[in-house]
Amino acid sequence: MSTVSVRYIVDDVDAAIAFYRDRLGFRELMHPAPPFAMMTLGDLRLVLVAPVPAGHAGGGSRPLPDGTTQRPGGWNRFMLEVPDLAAAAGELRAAGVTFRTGIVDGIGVRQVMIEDPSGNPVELFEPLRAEARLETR
Amino acid sequence: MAADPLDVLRLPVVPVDPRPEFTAALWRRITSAAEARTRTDEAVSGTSGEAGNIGLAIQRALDNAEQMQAQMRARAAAIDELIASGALERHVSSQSAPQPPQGPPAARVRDNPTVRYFVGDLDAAIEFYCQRLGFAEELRSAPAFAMLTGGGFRLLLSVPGLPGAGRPLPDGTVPAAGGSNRITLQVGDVTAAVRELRAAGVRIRADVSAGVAVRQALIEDPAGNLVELYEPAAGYRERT
Repeated sequence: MSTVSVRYIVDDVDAAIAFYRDRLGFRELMHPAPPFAMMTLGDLRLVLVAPVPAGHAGGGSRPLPDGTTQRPGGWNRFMLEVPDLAAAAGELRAAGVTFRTGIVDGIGVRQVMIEDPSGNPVELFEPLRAEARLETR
Repeated sequence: MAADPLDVLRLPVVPVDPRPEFTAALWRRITSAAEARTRTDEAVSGTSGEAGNIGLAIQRALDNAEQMQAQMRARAAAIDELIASGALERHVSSQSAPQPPQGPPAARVRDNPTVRYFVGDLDAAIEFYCQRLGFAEELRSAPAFAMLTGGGFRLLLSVPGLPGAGRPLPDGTVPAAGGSNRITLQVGDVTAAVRELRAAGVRIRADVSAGVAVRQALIEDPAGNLVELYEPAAGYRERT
C-alpha cells in the first residue's frame, strides 16, 4: 500500500507510464485522463502529470500564480534500492535508458542516476553501509 | 505482573539482519527484562533465588532469539527469492492484467520511500523541515548532507557543489535546488496549514486551489524546492 506520494511533471504521460512500469517495476493504479496517472511501487505512490493550462480541472500541474510553467527535470528525485547496482544499470542501459551519471561510489551508497523519458532523474542505489539500507519496520 | 523476558522478542521490530546497534539494544532489553523478572521472583518468594537464575533466563531468551532470528532470516531469504523471481508479484497481481517484464532486479521501496532534495543551506533546510513540517533529524553530516524522516518519507538533503550527491557531474554540471517535481504531504486541513505556514514566514508558491479529488497548495523550502500539501476533497478519501 502506498503511504507517501511524489509528483513528477512529465511531457508525455503514456511514455512515462511505460518507463516506470517496464523499466522500474511500478504498477499502474490509474490513468483516468491523458495528463494524469498514478503509479505505485512498494510504499511509494508516484503521480505523473503533464503540464495543463490555467483553469484546467487538474490542479497539480497548472502554471503557478506567478505564471511559472511547471516543467520536468531538475535534480530532486526519489531513490530506489537495488541489491545489485551494476546488474540493474546493465539491464537499463541495454534497454536504452538515458543515464545522467555513471555508477558513483558515494559515502553510504553506490549510486547511479537515470532519466525518465521526460528527463526527470531517478536515483538507484545499492547500500554500502547498514544505515543506508531501507528497513522494514 | 512479572515481565516475561521473551516479551522483547515479540516486539513489532523483527531482527532479521541485526545491526550492531540493534543487537546491543536487544541485549540490553533482554538483560534488563531477565533481571526484572528475577527480582520480582525474589520479592514474591522471599528467597534470594539461585545465583544462576538471571543467567539461565538470559540463556533461554538468547537461545530462543537465535532460533527466531534463524527462522526469520530463512523466511526473509525465501521471500526475497520469491520477489526476485517475480513469483510473489505475479501472485499478488494475479487478478489484474498480466504485467510486462519487471525492471531491474528487485528495485524496491519499503517503509520509508527515499527522496533527495538539493539545498544551498543545510541548517536552514533542516530547521524548515523539522520546525515547519514536523520532520525529525536522523543524521546530520554537516556541511554536505542530512537525513530526515517525516510524512512517511526519508528525506535526504544534499548541498550542491559539496562531496557526496552534490558533487558536479563528470561534464561539470552542478546539481541545483528547485524544479517542479516534489513530495506531496497530506494534511488534515490544507487551508489552516497554509495559514499557519504563511504566518511563520514560509513562502507560498500557490495558494489553496481545488483539483479533481484534492485541495492543494504549494509551498517552498528556504532553498526554493517545492513541497505540495494536499487534503482529499469532500467525498474522496485516500486509496488504501
